Amino acid sequence: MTTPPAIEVQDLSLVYGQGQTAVRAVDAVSMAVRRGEMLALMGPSGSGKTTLLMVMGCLLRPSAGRVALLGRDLAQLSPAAMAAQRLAHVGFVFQSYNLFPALTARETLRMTLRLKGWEAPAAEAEAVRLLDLVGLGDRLDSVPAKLSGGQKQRVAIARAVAGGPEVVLGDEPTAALDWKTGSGIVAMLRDLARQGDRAVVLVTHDPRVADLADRVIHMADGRLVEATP
Amino acid sequence: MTAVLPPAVLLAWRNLAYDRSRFVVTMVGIVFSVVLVAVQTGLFFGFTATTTIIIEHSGADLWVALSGLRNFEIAMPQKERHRNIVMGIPGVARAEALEVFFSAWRKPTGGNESVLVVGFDPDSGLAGPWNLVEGDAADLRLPDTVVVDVISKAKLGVARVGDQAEINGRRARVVGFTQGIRSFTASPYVFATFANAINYGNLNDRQANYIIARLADGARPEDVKQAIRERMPDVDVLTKAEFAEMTKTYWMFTTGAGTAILMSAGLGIAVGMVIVAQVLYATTVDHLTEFGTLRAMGAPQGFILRIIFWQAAITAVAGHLIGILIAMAIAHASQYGTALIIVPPDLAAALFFVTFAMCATASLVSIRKALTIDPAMVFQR
Ligand SMILES: Nc1ncnc2c1ncn2[C@@H]1O[C@H](COP(=O)(O)OP(=O)(O)OP(=O)(O)O)[C@@H](O)[C@H]1O
Ligand SMILES: [Mg+2]
Repeated sequence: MTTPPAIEVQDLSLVYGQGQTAVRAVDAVSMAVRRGEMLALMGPSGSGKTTLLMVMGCLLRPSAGRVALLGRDLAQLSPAAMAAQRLAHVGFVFQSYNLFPALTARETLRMTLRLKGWEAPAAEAEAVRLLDLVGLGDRLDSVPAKLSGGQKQRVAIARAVAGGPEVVLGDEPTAALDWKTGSGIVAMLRDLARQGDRAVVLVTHDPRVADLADRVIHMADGRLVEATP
Repeated sequence: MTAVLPPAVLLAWRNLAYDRSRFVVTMVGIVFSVVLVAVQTGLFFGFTATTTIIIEHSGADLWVALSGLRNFEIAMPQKERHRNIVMGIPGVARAEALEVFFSAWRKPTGGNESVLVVGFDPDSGLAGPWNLVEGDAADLRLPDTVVVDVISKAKLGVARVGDQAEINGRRARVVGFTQGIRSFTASPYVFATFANAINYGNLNDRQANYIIARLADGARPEDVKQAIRERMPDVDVLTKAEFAEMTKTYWMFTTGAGTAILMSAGLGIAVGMVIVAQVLYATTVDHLTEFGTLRAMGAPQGFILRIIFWQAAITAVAGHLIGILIAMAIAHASQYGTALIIVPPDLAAALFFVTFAMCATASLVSIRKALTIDPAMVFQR
């Protein structure tokens, strides 16, 4: 038996609301993302990119179709079980970083690891290692307000990969950054995909980001429109 | 240090400390409320202890008064020969007459004050002054002598041993000062021997307000009470504990003084609760995106609730500690004032639970809000 893809969706639909006001944000999408690959998800505003990302990230339950994370079907999970799946297997990176203003980089990482069940001393060592990895070895004790946008996003990336999740999802993680900084972030995510054998999916409007990805998928009106191999 | 804190505690602490000015406002609110509650309750305890101070220190096990007695300060005269009857009851080791009556004290500098004269038998060792800091109680055996408390020096216009005032127009020479014998009523206690007191009150020595008795070793108060009642149907017989309870209840609840104090303590709790609820809620709303992020990361609902709980707990502990320290300082200072405030360790401990319950209740509003967080919110801008 071959190893299952990190993420697999089949005939996936997601409808917001009901009746007259219902919005079919994702419409019969089928696709898969392998471990070790970085996929870019593009498309016009309102095409359903974020919605698809949230379904893959176990934040939304599909209205129809199947979604599997590491071969496990997610459709029937309770909210608490979905949270447990996210904690164990998925890391998120946001456009606006979503760091904790009161915590230093080191504390953010330590807290994330301890949430994932790490003991304090191991969490401390791993926090330092990860921040070193994203090039913030000298900013361990800085709170977000003392960091630049690029540095904040690197803390967020370290947080997303803390504990070794197999899947990392980013919703326009470079939209708030200049290109020089943004390309560095994307390159770092691609390296983390390849070296960490994890699947990375980035939603982006920027073709230059897409150029750095292994594969690009385009969406329009909730459907996939083309795929470059 | 922070490395070993559980993550929910760390985040709770950091979130509180992050917005310093808000934390200071919370602290001021809680400290204010704790001090208010502690001082009011301490005042209640202090008043309560003050009302029974003579009863507690009298050394008497039983108090006999004309029936209809409601408090220590006001007792109607009974026949002094009741003392002989009480003395003859098996189980009574000693019985003495005691006079307690309000009288007018004319200050050496002029002007009158109301005082409560306590006339005791110096041979009995019952109900005399204690804790003398100046002078000698033995001098009370001399005619026209009294002992008063240092607290009432200014009020009574006397400063040192030998100073002279008048009670009911009769000379009263101060031969000693006690410390800490505070009166609950506005009238200070003035100790005199039974013989001198009779003179001050122009009383008949065949009458006395109280007959107080000390029991023999092994005698049961209930049996002796019963025996006295059978001999004298027209008197009230109370054990020390019963009389103390009666006097406390009279001053604290019948007069409404205690109820008023306790109500302001309750008000303190309510004010504190509103302030804490307000601030905890504002803190929770401010951090809603963070809580959403945590939920998106997969943190369980319980983790968010723990953060809110710890925010409340840290606030409670810090507020309680500071508040109690201030209240204890106030209580300490009250030793030299006319109103005694007692903040015993039991009260401090009980108030911790009150403060904690206050903060926990206040956090319920925040918890309701936190339970509505949808982790998808962080993606929907
Ligand atoms: N919570 C919601 N309730 C109802 N409709 C929603 C909700 N979230 C999104 N939609 C709708 O679903 C569709 C897809 O939205 P989605 O956010 O997935 O698009 P997107 O491709 O991420 O857009 P953008 O590039 O602007 O971020 C849109 O028409 C949007 O209005
Ligand atoms: Mg979007």
